[in-house]
Amino acid sequence: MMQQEYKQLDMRYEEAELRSKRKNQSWIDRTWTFFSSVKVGLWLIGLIIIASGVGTIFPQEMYIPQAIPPEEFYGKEYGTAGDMYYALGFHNLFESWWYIGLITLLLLSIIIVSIDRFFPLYRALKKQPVIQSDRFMGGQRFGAEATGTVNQIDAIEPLLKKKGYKIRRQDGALLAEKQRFGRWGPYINHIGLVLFFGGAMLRIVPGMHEDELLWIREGETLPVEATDNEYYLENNAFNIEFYDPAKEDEKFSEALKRAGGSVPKNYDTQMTLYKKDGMTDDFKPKLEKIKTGETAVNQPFEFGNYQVFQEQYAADPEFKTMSFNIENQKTGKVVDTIKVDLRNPQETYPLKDGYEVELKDFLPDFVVKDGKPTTNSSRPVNPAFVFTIKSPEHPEGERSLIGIKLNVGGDENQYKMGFAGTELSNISGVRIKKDLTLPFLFAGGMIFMFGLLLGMYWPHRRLWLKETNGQINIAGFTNKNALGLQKEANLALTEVGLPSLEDRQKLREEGESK
Amino acid sequence: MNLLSLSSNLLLASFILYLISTGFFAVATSGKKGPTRSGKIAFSLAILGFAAQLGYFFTRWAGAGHVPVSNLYEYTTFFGMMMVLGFLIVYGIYRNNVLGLVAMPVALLVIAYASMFPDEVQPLIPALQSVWLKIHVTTAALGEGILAVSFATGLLYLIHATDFSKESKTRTWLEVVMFSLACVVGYIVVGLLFNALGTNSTIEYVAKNGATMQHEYTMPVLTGPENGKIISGSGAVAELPNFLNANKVNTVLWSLIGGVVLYALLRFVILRKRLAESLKPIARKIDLETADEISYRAIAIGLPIFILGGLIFAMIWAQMAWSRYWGWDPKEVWALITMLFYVFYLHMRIQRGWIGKKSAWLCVGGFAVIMFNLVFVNLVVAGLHSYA
Repeated sequence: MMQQEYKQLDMRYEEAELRSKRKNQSWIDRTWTFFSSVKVGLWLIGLIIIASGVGTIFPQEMYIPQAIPPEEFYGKEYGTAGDMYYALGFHNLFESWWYIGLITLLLLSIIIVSIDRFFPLYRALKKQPVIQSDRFMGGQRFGAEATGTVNQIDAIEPLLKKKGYKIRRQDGALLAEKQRFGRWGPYINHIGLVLFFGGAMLRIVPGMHEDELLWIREGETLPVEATDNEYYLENNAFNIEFYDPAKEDEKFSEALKRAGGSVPKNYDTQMTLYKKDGMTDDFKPKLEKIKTGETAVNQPFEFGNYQVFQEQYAADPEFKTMSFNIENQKTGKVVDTIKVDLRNPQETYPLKDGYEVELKDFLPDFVVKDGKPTTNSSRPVNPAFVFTIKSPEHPEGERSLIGIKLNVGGDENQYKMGFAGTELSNISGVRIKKDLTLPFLFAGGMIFMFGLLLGMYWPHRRLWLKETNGQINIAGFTNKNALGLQKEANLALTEVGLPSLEDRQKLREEGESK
Repeated sequence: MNLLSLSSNLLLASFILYLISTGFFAVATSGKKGPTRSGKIAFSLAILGFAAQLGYFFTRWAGAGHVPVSNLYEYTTFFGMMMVLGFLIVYGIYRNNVLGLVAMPVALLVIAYASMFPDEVQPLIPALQSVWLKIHVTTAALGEGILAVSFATGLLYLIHATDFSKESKTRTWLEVVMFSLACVVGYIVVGLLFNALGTNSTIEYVAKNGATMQHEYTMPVLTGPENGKIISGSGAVAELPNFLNANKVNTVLWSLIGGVVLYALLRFVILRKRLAESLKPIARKIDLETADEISYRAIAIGLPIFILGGLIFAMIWAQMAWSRYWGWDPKEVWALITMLFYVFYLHMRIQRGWIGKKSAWLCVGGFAVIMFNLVFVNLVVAGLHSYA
């Protein structure tokens, strides 16, 4: 029995007419064809892979130390290669127009390729006939031929039904099909990807995304700009705890020794949230307490659409207040004590018995530059003061410069300022975030995974049987897992006395290699 | 005996069991085709070894008080374990002994490599204290472990399909792969050797930012920092500019030396032929179609798991811990590259008909990307994920 050889068909799109495969194309068609080419998509993926890899050779701009300007950092740290990296813009690769451009092109390609193929494929599968031509059946990867009767086809129907196939019959011929939905898998996961990236792009829509880093001292209440100053946050206390090799964490002692420094165990900020409710008479915001709570790493504090993340903390705490004793150096008698609030220092401090201290100058971050005392920053990390003590004996005042382990010009004076304690305050760096795009990203991710699993694990399988003049023609199709189809179909075929499916692709390849 | 020392004994036991299992796989493949008795013994030993390693994992978990995947030692060990699991799953489906003979040694190599890192338990920094540590890291490692099976079968495919008597690109590149594996072995052997010899040195130097830093060498010093001052041990043969980490360069050099010596020994003294060629009798026992199909299925199973663990769970956790789901950290970027690479593979295979050799090369390349992310990104590039 000679059987005719047919060319194997490309069944990916059921031979449907794709717009991208049309001849005589207009420029719209040509653009369409360009983006609907899988080849173009794969080139884009390849380029993104290479660019991303190059972007990790040296750290990105956002991860380098802030003290050094980037144009100097790369050359200093990595030599000529670093200079080139910076000059070519790789230091900020992932926000560069061309990287974002590549991703946009890939998205466009995904969208167009999906539209180009989905609708023709959907129509082709929807209106597929039960009886297919010999060319079609012979062109399938799996097939077999034998002499037989329609009775055998009738007999196989319940067997295939039991395997979950949906059966259609026409003039004795049979089409068994299952898991057609598996064919939609790739399109579903592409939709998921588009939703994900589309969601990420929604950030540029005003109001969708707010991001603010707020440095907030203990005891301080600050407006949250990300909420249009509608909400205020108060830092009630900042706690930090380190692993202690001497105590309960003895098993970690070796690792802690290797780490060299102290390893934080936990840090969190106790905070109170206020809502602004108009202004008071002296033009200060009237604050209504909403709630208290804490933010710790991995456990953000939440209100409305906002989350407050514990992000950083200042390595060295600031001085909050400093107290001084006004002492008579001769008798050692303390006249009085003052407390200077470093965030809000006063000009004069009236004392008992007509004494008075004047704060002539306050240097929060004291340094000596060119022989002159000055301040490095406005943060009270190394405060120094120029005081004048007015006393009955010295009504014009005695002047001295007082700082930490510093007393200039005070030795000869009758009265001196002596340290009488300080209060420190930690500074917590919290990030306030609102991101309404997250649900889109989450949905996109889930749809992507769903489509991926659908396409990977639910193969679309079909079996055609038709009888003509005592000849039975069998054809089989699956888009995944060829062995699975053969196993399933052969069991049913042999039970009704029909031959097993042949893998014609394999036969053809073997024929070619001989 | 406390939990932690019990744990390391269990790991040692599993290592030895894997080793014996590999031996039995070798016996099984030297016989006739099909599942022989030794094949069954080898498989049972591999399961036993896996059970012992699970024992290591859970006793260490109990001993440390947190899931042991938080530093390079723990993660790499776990990755090796997931490779074994991936192999066991695939073996369960295909009962192929040849695969065992390649997959088990690669897993052994990974576990041995892990032992080069400090193995004491470390406390968790606040960012790592989350249930997502368990979920994200274990899922990602499982995905990578299953993907690694496709490396084993891809390699087998290439060796089987290559005619070593003729000059070809495949022949050359296969030797490059074999040489890279030799360098990993070289690194481990040299590391253990110098550890036993106690060749420690400390060199002090002044870094760019003016701070005085120290390099602690465990291997004899070939490359030292510029104007280094020897605190203890030996001095450097050559000095390097300080934007290169002289200590890391030194380790890489020694690994290369170890790799070259090992490779030369195997190639010219012991086997007297190309390393890949000497594996050909083994590779011939797996038919090309099966090797190709296993590669594809390993990726079909491994990739969704990897995407879920290495990207989706990762993003969820990053959002909670760092307030952003994506930050272009090198580890994140390389996880994305891993995904894109396998996506590239799938499209090439399904859409452009890349099967056989080309597809097998992509399987090998994918594993190279995974290893790059594990080794180089942690040790060289360093970012938020360099906890070790």
